[in-house]
Amino acid sequence: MNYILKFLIIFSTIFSISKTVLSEELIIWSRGGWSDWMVEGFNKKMADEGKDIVALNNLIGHADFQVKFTAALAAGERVDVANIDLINVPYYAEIGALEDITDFLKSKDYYDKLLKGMLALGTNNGRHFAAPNAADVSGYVVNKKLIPNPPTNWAEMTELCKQFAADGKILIAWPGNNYGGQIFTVMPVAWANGGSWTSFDGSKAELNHPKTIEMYEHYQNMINIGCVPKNVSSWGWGDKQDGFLAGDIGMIGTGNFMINVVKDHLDKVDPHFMAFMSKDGSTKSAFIGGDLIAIPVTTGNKEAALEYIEYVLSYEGQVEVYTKNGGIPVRSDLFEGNPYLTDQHMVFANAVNEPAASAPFTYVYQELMDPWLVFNQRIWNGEDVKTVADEQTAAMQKIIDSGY
Amino acid sequence: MSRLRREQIVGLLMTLPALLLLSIFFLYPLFNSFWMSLHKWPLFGKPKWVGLDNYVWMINDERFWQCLKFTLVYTITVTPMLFIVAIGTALLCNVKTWGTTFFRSIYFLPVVMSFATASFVWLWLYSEWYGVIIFLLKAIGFGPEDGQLSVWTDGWTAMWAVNAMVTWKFAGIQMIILLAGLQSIRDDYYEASRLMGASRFQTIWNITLPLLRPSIALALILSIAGSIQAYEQFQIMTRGGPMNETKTLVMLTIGMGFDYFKLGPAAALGVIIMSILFVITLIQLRLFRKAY
Repeated sequence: MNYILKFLIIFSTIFSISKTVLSEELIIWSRGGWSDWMVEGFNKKMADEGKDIVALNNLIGHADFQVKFTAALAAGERVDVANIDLINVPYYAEIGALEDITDFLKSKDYYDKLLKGMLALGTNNGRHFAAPNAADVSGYVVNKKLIPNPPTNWAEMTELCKQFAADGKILIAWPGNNYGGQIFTVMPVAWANGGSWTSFDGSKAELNHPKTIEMYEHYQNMINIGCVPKNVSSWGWGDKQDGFLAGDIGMIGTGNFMINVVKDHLDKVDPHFMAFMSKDGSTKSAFIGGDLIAIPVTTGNKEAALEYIEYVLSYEGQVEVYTKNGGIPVRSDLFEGNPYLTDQHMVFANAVNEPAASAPFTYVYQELMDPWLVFNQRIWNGEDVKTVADEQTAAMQKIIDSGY
Repeated sequence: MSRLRREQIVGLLMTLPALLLLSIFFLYPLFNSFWMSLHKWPLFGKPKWVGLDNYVWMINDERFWQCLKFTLVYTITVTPMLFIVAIGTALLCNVKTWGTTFFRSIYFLPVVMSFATASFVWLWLYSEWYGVIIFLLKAIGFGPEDGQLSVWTDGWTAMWAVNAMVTWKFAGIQMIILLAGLQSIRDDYYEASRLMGASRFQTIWNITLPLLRPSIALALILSIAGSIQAYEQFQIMTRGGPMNETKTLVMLTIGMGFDYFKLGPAAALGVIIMSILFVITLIQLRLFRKAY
């Protein structure tokens, strides 16, 4: 009996060790919960194909991801694949933290169909260091129970604003205390109008662009009319979203994820999604946000990492995993005929192709958030838009010039 | 070997673990921070010697002066608040009567709560939608007749809102320090003052406060040092807003190091904060020297 027990113990130990040694582990770092499904799908595919690659998903909270990821990089900790907030990717690419995947991407027949706005943020000096992975696209959501006829231009918004103010109601609100929320849902209105945040290469701050000023004067005017809370500068993302879902706010800026969120509030909200618009409504825009997927230089298995990226960008990854769970595919060739893209999703998918849809390219995004937030809060508190824009543009330029 | 020498060696060996921990967790980071502050310290690649450039850059940055000014204003406003509440509760708890022990525990209770927890609780109390404090403020006439009252739209009100939380949280520990000092004052002095016909105020002013100087010195040093290093309460309750008006020096340091990854300037800021604390503590010790 003792011999049998000893044999079983030794055998199980050897078996577990050998299983670990023989399997190629792939360490994935992710921000979003959808990544669990992607890893599950990939592992199943690898098992079906008889390949001994096992992906392990390390889900890091959004708020902690950048600090933890950067600390891991600096410490040389092995990370094979990272799903990084696209706005931070230019910095990592610039400091040499990511592997060059240009040849890999260009070998794919869908290369030209990858969302250009996202791909641009993963590109440095003409080389690709990250690929689009998961798109978060912004736009308006209007509650048709409060606004049966959603506005199609700024003049209609202003008229609605007067009506709502007369009734003591809130037409629109935004997260005045949240820099990320405002660049996601307020700045795209300026882009639609022809405004700018920084130059294309991120070398010049352009917050005081005349068209940006025009847009901010429009929003400030709505505060003055009274259909926007006077203390909107202290509102967080949750404040305006909760208010909208409770049926207290007519419209808000949001993202495509709201399509799933609003489903539980249909008793109070009849949702209508639409893109951000210019003054005359002719030009549309959106913030093309989300994650890029990259291979850090600390990877221990670049080939397996490329295999994972290939799966993520495949039809199965983008449609059967990502779109099926509410996302927007990062390949435009997967929009048409996609069984999971509803009309609501198509509003965001179409916005992505608008020329004005964008995400700013900068190596110093986090540091620029300071003057950006001050810019917004001073305007929401009633200061002259041009004066504030000139001052904060100078502050942003100083940061850009000082480098990373 | 003589007995004295043996005892000295044993004493040294006994303190070695503590010295080792001190070296690893205090001295090494201290010298490393100073070394980093003299370099451009990238995440990848070799650090580059820049001398005092990081200090010059920081001192020429408007953000540094804005944060320093706010940190000092916060320190100057919260310290007297803490002290007044602490001395008041200490004097009350020094009275030997029924319920004193119970109230001493009640006043000390907030101290055991973590700073982060306390910040979130008070954030909820200040909520313009359902906060009890906002409700009470509106009931006594503060805020607009229509619309919401928010303490976070103005830097000044935001600071005082945080001061109230910090006073609630830390007055207890200062109360204990002052209470210990009060209880160390001999009854003979009070008896003598009673016999000489001194009023209660005269007794407190001429006997209690002078003899309480060592405790007051300790309480003030701890309060000022803690205030200069303020971080969690503002990070959670105001995030430095509105418009960076409540951003402290430590917030700027942490942002510089962990948000912007500018490790050299962040280390320089850390050294600057340490120097400020060192100078202020030295001044306080000199001012209260007579107490010792």
